[in-house]
Parts: sequence; structure tokens; C-alpha cells
Amino acid sequence: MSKYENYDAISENYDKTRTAVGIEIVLGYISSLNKDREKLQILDAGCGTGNYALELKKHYPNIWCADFSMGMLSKCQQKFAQREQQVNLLRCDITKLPFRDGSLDVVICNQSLHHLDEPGNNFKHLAEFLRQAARSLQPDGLLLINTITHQQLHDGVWWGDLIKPAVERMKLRFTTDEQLAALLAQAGLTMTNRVVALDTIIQQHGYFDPGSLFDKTFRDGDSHFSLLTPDELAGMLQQLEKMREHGELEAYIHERDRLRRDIGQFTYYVIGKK
Amino acid sequence: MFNTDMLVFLICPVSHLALYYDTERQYLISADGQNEYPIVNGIPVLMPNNAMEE
Repeated sequence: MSKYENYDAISENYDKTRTAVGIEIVLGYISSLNKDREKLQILDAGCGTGNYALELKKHYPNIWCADFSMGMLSKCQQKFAQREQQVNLLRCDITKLPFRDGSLDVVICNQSLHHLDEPGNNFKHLAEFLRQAARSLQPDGLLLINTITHQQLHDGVWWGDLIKPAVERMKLRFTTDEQLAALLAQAGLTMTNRVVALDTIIQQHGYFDPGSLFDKTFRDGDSHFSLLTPDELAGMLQQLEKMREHGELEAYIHERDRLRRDIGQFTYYVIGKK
Repeated sequence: MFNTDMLVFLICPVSHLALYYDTERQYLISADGQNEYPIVNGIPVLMPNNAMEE
């Protein structure tokens, strides 16, 4: 239920910049549950257009896709229909998961939790989502949260420094590790591992393209940009243009990307019930 | 269009009661009849009524 991005509107272009990055981490942890894959019930909470769900479907028959946006769900429905595959789709608020207690084996949540809360409300909705996930999961169930650390917000993309005001605003929407650990404990959950795929790039095509940020469709694939004011966006584009004119942009990208190679762009938190 | 197998897993997000399927109206209704949820293009919209337009 993002208050700063209209996901119904951007669902058309969403897949131009998003793929199921880190899916190998998800698949690895699900297989390590060592359960009958025919019986596993897997929920993708905040499924978007279903990129992760489609990958999961290759291995597991019972996939649930939940999202607040009907635009995203319709796109997801089309993609499954094109492949003549069955999926359980739900429009819901993931802080009010409509699942019976202990009915799910796995809940995954990819790059969605920062849309739940407005800054300053102490992650009240995130806390509720975690409680609902804990309730819906079986005792040995698995919750996988794919999110971005504060350091990754700034240094996980080469343009982080150019959009500093947006990054600072974004940090208010993402928990620190300590905040997340405390919220998990309150929900009866515990973090068992953190996994970072250093060589995986969320934006994939176009990430290293010096012209990418001039393209609105590319910027729409990264919710940071929607937190820039029009003046800040114009200033950033002017700065980029200047670097491009002086032939400095490619060197800037290369230099900044060294930080990304050290810390990665996103983090998977592997979580179980206490 | 709606896959009724889903009802084994789903509950009303408000009352946490079981849901039944009104095939004629294409709604899921909580066991106490207090909450109704439309099915739109085969997709159940399981949101409390006051959150529908957020």
C-alpha cells in the first residue's frame, strides 16, 4: 500500500527493470526445509507482477501471490495464464494476511516492506506483517525477507550519492538490522542468517548504461527516484549531463560501483519461528 | 474462475472466521455473514471494506 508510488500505474513498465534477483537464495533455503514439495504452500507477499512466483512455480506446485495493487496482480495473472499455469492470486493488505493459522510453509517478501510504513510511525505496519506471517506459518516455517540495508541504500547503486536527499528519506522507510531484530523478536520470530549476493544487480539491463537515469521508465523501476522533489530530480539530471558532456560519467560510474561490489545491493534475511 | 480449493487455507482478514463462496454473486463471505469480499476477474479481494479504495 505504497503512499509514494502508484503501483497500478507503473505495473505496465515494472518488468522492464525488475527480475527475480536472488531467486537462487530463495530456492536454496526452501529446499533445505526438506519437505515434500508437492505439499509445500508458498506465499509471495507483495508479489508485484509475479517474477519470483513464476520462478518458484518451476519447482513447487502450490504458489500464492498476494499484493495490494490490482494492476500488479492482473499482470501476474496474465503471465501465469500465458504459461498455462495455475496460481492462487489474492488482493489483500499483507498486514492483515487472510490465511489460517499454520497454513503456510514459506512466506517470501521481496523489496516490499518499505512500502508499509510512513516515516515516524515506528514500523507499526511492518510489526503487524511480521506477527501475521508468524501466525500463518507452520512451527518450522520459513520467512525470507529481501530488503536493503542503510549502507546498501547509499552505496549499492552508483547513483546513490547523486540522489542523497532521496536516499536519506528512503532510510526512514527501511529498518536497521537492530530494529528488524527487535521487531522479529516481538513477533515470535528469529533471524537465523543474512545473505548478500555481491554479484547480483537488481536493475540488470541498463545499470551500467550512462544514459539510463535520463530514461523515466528506468527511473520508475527504482522507488528512490519517486522521493526526489522535481527540483532535486532536475538538479541530478543536470549534474549527470555535465559529467556526460565532460566525458567523466563512465569513470564516475566505475568508481562508485566499487562500493557496490563490496556490499551488494540487497540482503536476504532468513527467519524462523522461535 | 475462482479456485475453491483456496478456501481450505483462507480466512476472513477481519474476523478470522472461515469463508464461504457465493457463486451467484461472486463473493466470499465470512461464516458469520458480517464481511463480504468480491471476487474480481477470479481474484478474491480480501480487504476490509474501509481499505478498498486506499
